[in-house]
Amino acid sequence: MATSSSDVRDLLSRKYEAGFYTEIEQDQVPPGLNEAVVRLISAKKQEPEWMLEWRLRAFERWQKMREPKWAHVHYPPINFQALSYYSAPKSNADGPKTLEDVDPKLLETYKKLGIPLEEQKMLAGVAVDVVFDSVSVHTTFKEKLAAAGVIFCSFSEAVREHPELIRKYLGSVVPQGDNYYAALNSAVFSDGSFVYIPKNTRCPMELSTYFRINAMNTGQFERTLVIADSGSYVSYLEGCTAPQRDENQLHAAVVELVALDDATIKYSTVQNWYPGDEEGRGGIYNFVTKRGDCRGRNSKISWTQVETGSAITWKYPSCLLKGENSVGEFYSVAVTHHRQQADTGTKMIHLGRNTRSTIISKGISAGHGQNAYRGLVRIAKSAENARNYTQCDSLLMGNQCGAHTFPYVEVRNATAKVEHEASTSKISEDQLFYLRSRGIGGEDAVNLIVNGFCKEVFKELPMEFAVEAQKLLNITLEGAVG
Amino acid sequence: MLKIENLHAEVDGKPILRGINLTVPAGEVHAIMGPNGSGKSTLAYLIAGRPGYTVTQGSITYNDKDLLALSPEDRAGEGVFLAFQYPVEIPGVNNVYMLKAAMNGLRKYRGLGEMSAVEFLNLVKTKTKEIGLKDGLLNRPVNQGFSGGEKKRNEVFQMSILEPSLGILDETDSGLDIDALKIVADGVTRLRGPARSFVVVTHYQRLLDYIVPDYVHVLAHGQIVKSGTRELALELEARGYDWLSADAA
Amino acid sequence: MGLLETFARHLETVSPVNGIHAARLAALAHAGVRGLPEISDEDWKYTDIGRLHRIEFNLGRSPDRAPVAVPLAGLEAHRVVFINGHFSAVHSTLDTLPKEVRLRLFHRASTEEPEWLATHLGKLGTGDASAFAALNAAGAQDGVAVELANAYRLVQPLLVIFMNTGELHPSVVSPHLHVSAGAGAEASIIELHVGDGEATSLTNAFTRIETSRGARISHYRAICEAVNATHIGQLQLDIGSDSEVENFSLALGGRLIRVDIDCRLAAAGGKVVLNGVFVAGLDQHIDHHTRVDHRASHTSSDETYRGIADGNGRGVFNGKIIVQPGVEKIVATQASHNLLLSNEGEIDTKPELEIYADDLRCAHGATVGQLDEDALFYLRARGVPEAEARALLVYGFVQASLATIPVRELQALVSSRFANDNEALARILSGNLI
Repeated sequence: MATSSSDVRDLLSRKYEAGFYTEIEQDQVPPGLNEAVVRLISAKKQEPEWMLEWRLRAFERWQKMREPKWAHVHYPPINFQALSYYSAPKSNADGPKTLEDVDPKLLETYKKLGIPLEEQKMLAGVAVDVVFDSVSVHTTFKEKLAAAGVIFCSFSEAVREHPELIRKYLGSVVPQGDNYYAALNSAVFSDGSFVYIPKNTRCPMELSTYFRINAMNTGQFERTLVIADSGSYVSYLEGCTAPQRDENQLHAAVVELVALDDATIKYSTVQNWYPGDEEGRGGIYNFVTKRGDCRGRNSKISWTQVETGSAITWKYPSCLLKGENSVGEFYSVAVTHHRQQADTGTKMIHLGRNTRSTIISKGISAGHGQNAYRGLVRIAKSAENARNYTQCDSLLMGNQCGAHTFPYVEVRNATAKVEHEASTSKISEDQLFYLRSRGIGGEDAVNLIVNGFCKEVFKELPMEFAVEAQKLLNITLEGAVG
Repeated sequence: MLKIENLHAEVDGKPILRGINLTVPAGEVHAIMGPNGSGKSTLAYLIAGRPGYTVTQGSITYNDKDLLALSPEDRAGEGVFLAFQYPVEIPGVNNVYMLKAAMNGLRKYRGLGEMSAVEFLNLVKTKTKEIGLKDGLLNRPVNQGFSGGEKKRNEVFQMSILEPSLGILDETDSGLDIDALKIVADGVTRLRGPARSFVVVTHYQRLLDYIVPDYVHVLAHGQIVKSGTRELALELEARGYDWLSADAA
Repeated sequence: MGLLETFARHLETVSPVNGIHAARLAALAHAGVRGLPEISDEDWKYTDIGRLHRIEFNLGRSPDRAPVAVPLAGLEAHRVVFINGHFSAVHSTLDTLPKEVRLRLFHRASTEEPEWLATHLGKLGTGDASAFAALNAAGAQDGVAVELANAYRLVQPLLVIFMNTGELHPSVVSPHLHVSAGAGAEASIIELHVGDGEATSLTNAFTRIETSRGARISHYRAICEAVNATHIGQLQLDIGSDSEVENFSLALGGRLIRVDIDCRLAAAGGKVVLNGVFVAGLDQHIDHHTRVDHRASHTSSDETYRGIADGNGRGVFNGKIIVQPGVEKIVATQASHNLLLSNEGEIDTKPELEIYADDLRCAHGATVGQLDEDALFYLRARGVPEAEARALLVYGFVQASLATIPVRELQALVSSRFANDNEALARILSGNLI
């Protein structure tokens, strides 16, 4: 390619556009994790006794668990005692009541990220909950949603205002002891979003949460709970960024989705945590547990994710297909460049009759990136006439990277049909040449091919996100083909 | 004699046949013609007993037996043979093994003993020559890797071995060039006789130049909209189907 | 008593002869260090060998002189037959072997070439040899190592039969087959493990095939163990430059079968074809783990496994393709097709790719399903009764792979085992119609 090495360096240096840090006065708990810290977090959030007890039980379990080692990722041991488990913008201690109460510096931060909080400037039809480090700083369009009966608020608020829903559903999809990071999250989760869509209601707008890690040496442990009652529909979007730092930061979130009879939840993520630099310094450890429970008949949960950021990604948005005729979907694009590592995929657990699942996974590896798809399709004995189709493709850009596929298929019912296909190849020289000979050069040709490779996934994203995702992908892969 | 009375059938709740009446006495050849999607293949499948179709009204009897109550293999035992429009490929199952299993299944149904391997192989040899089936195809997996023409020839070959009393040819002419068409038609013509009848489902009349039918029926929108003699087929060729469909609609 | 302890006690009872005994002890120690696999090991998550620790095995079975009918009697081949772990001269035909085939039997080597045998067994007691490979070295009563001279083409197949017969008490046999093919050598090798009786015996087999430049080896390995037997099989393929190895693994008989195939393509132009068929019927558990390691450029692999689980049988397939950093021009394909015929059965399949280079084409596919409904209707419409139509389609499913075996007698052996379980199928397959 004609691009000189200095051009490439330029490209790379402007690569992570969300990498700035906001000087803001923080209320931060000193590093370390023990029962007192769990109690302190709960107290800071003025939580009721039952919530504290729930956290303490989780903490007890976590202490007895060991870090999982099976993922195809490598990193130095994490010192869980060196992290701070709570950080909040100080001026926000009591929570902003209106936009005027939000620290202007915060507003500035979100403006830089392209997320203005002023509602009139918002993208039409998108309500946003914004989580800054450990706390939710603002939720937009609350009144309009309330008119439709939709509850969309920070998790802390939900614990105070809707304890009956929280107590019923919290941990009902991802139990406290599900895995090491889920247990840790259950003990120290700070904030996150809560959504309840009432019966037979189509949520009038897209809901969105924007996560930002700002403070140093802070773990972010948010928790999201989405409940779609019978006959309802909701589309939920999630975006993430963090400042550029040399240290690694831990993000261990838990997302629980519950879809009752005839309900549909569409959950989309564009994850752009700081990935670290080209030498692998810094970046977020993104160890996330996401699971949806298709509890009702004819329910549907669809996960779409575009994973371009993080130093290490370890997440498997999954579906428990319990209800008859329920449907699970997983559409994923995961990109690893430089020294990024991703071990991501899904689990489709078929329990009910006539349950169907589709998995489309597109992995792109560039530089020294290591990208693994790990998926489980399990057809239980009770799942008559279950169907799964999995397609899992990997694209390699450069000979220093890796692409790995670890699908587990477990079938215990003789009416099941399961089909898995996977392919791995490098970006086609023929395609590149063809485009170049048509006058489409360099990065444009690569972008065109990569976007084509990911098309099946992008088309599942809401329009505004699809555009953002495509841009992010192109930025992430700048300089990948030389 | 095949007797179809007021036959209504649907697939996945969608009605395909809406009251078919058809009688095919022994020894006769009836052609069923009609535009695509008129229900021709559905009718053929229903006679042979393919799962997935729901009969909502009416009956199909053959020699006074209720075919709808019988499994596909028992219908074959009664003498029904369906030559498939798209013969199924069965990897790993040798053509000759399949035929032997079929032959013995039919004989058992009719209370006869199994045919000896020698007798069977001699029969296969004779018929192979008659139909002009390439020797190599016999020991290949059923239809696998066969050309379109070879598949159709294989269907007629199987029919000549199993000697049904009612042959249903479902678009046996589709995808055949004129030479292959002649060979297939010759095979069928050779089987014609006073005790054997045929239902020939086809979109084009050219097959009927070689398998001359006694009667021609036109199927449209799940009903027989016109019946006539061979001349009707020629008229259809000249005028197309639209004039009939318009009437029916 | 655990399996390792059983071996330790047995070795204590045999008075030390020479370096061979030392090599066996070292191998046992190595097995101890490696530890026998448990289901918490990722590679053994679907297969529990806990039962082996609860059986009191007899390791020192003496030769049995009772007359035995050896399978594949009609096949023209060079025969090497072991019965209950011991070489059986009456069933073997060593004298027909040409001088270009050097064949060493362990029981002879222990007196004639003790140092060679000690070195040979010693290799399985070090490095990354698995616990079961080491145990094979520790316990192998007898075994055979074959060397094919450069450019020599062996016309008749080499048939190696390991037979366990008339067992009353559970015993362990450790079949051992080592083949090294010189440059340009060609041979076809049939390795057959057969057993009868009711005992809960263990076959812990080790096979290694290494080829030099341009050698071509076809290797057919069939497991027809007795109904309660456990078969643990380790197969190593080390493929030289421009050399081609075709392996066929058939797993039919035995309560618990685990086969590990480890293939190294460490020289340019190497090629491997792996085919497998397993049928896990009533009370059977059959697990294949294959690993194809592309360590050199211009190497290719092509793998197809067909599995069936019926009754409460469980079939497991785990196939891993690795492409190491820095290699190029790799073509690797893998397919795992499975039929699950009963709700009491289970199929677990895990086709894996681990790829660290970019100039390659790799693809894999896995399916779990049932018999093709269209094919079933087609057969029934021809008059084939449903039960027979199903049997025929199941047979056809495996036949699609079996048909590639050029050894008619071996195909017939497998067919007859199929027909054993199904009267209708037996009738269809009778009369030698092909």
